[in-house]
Amino acid sequence: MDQVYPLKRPSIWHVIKVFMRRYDFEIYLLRRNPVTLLGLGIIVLVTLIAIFAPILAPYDPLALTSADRLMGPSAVHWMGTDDYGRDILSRVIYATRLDMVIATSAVSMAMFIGVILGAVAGFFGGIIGEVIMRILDVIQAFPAFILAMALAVSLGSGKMTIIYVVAFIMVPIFARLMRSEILSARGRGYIEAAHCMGASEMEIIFKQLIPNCITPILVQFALSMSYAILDAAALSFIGLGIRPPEAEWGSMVNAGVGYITSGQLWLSVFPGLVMAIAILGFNLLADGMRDVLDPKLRS
Amino acid sequence: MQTIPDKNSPDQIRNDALFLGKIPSSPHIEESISVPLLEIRDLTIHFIVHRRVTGPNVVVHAADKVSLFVKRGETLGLVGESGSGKTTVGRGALRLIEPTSGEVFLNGQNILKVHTRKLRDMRRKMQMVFQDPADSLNPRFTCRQTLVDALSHACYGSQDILRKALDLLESVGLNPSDLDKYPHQFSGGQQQRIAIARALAFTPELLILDEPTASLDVSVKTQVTQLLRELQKKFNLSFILISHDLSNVKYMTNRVAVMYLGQIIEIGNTSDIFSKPMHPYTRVLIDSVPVPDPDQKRKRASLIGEIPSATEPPAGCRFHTRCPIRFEICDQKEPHLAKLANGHMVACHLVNSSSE
Repeated sequence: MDQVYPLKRPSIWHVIKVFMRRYDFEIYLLRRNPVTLLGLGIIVLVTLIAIFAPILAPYDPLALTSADRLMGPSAVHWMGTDDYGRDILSRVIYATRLDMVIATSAVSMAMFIGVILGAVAGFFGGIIGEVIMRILDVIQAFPAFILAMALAVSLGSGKMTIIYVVAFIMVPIFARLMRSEILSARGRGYIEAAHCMGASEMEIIFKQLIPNCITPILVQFALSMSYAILDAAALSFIGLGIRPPEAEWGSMVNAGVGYITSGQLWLSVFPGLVMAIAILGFNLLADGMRDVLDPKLRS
Repeated sequence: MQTIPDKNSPDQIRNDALFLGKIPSSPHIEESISVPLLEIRDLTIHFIVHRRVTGPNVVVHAADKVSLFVKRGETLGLVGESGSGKTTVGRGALRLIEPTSGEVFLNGQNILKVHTRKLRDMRRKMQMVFQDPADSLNPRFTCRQTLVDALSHACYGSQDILRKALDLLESVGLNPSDLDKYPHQFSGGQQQRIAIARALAFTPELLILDEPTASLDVSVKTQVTQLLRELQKKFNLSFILISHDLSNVKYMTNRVAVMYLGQIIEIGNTSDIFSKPMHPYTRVLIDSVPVPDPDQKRKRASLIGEIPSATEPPAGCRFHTRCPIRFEICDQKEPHLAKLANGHMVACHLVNSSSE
């Protein structure tokens, strides 16, 4: 096992090996938990598809070929073509990229803002906490999707709009979760010990409290990813999100709706199916994450 | 505009005394003033449980006019049953809880009057060791991270930190190989040792021990107690030992303060308190200590009933509802701490009337 590494840049394999050793327990837990592993596998696959979309897509997702209109799945077009003759597989691959970008950005944004708001509200309490929580109550008082629709209409369509809107309706979830975690962690002995050490309040929040409260937040992150995908697709489905020529799961399903009765199912089914699989992957992962992230399970 | 301090104010006299005390050529003055390390005066901590629009708020009297002092190198025991406010006083002294009123002097400086930055500096001179060691260590920090975090707050340079961390580990009897373990990988006793090491990182003058052995096994208890005594000698530490384990208190402390419902009812040298307790409550407490002698007849002077609610403490003497020897005046007039010999003080009408 003893290996002398020369003083040069470590090879990628060495980095992977060190990484594996650092996280060997997490990896072990994942292997014992095949359902979580399946979820993780799906997400890794979806992410890879999103990253390498231009390489993987066999056709240009926007190229119109009127001769190939509404062709069923075949060896040439694995998922068939749509009413403008565009290859559905290529469009689904590009849609994966777009939807993953939207969902990841939206949820990250919501998590970042929500965690800070929740931490401040939970730690300081009092008037600051009340004001923050009441504002979040107002956001949550509206049905989330109706609010998203209203916002999307007022902000105009586009990728950034969906990201902001989805992030906006998700902030209260993260903030509430963080606040309740902080409230229960605030009275713990190690926080008082940190006060005794003369640590500043910001130091206590960012160094002691947030790392100890982050597990449920990460689980919520995975769960929220699936909701974000759904919300983004739903907004596009009703025509408020991504404009038609660009490929997006929701708008693709919408484009195919008119052809379901006439038997050309592939227009809606394939994008819908891929979306469902991606959502399933995030849900499965969220279920298993808690076990993996709990430091008490390490031995 | 510079405000001229009042020459005769207690703060000023105290500061002058401190200043003079620091001059090494006048041991006489130092001896005569001997400012205590920590002095608590009339510390009152009330928690508002329920705010009312009309009428007074519902308030828990966690500590009422508690006064005590701790000298350098001595151990003060703080005893009493659960809910008597022992822990509250300990936390109030560190200003972990904001006291309602009163004064806490550390080395002659009022910790309740200082601002945030100064408060942080002063807190480092007093450290706390908590009852539940598992709870007092950050579960996501390894032992190394815990100590490094503490040492960086104690303003050690980065090159000294590891050496100092190893020193600390050694002084609490742990191995360097334990550095990279997480708290849950240690036993309760070891966790408490880490918590003690963390407190020692600041070279504190005072350690507030909040039932440091209450959650430990009996065998480990003795080890930790022993360790604390060794460290006290080595670093010339003062302790406030908050505990309801009276045999431990008898063993560890120089002086004892007995608390009941947020008030100190008796305070004095440990030997005096245990040999001739004056307050009826103290007597009951001491009688309840198990004696390891099957032949000795026990005076069964146990108390009737529960400790009354701290939201509505009884009028007069707070102990009168359970006192075996109460008389008329007890539920009307509140007894004050009366001085006996050797700094022994008791708050009981019986003692007061006989001494007058």
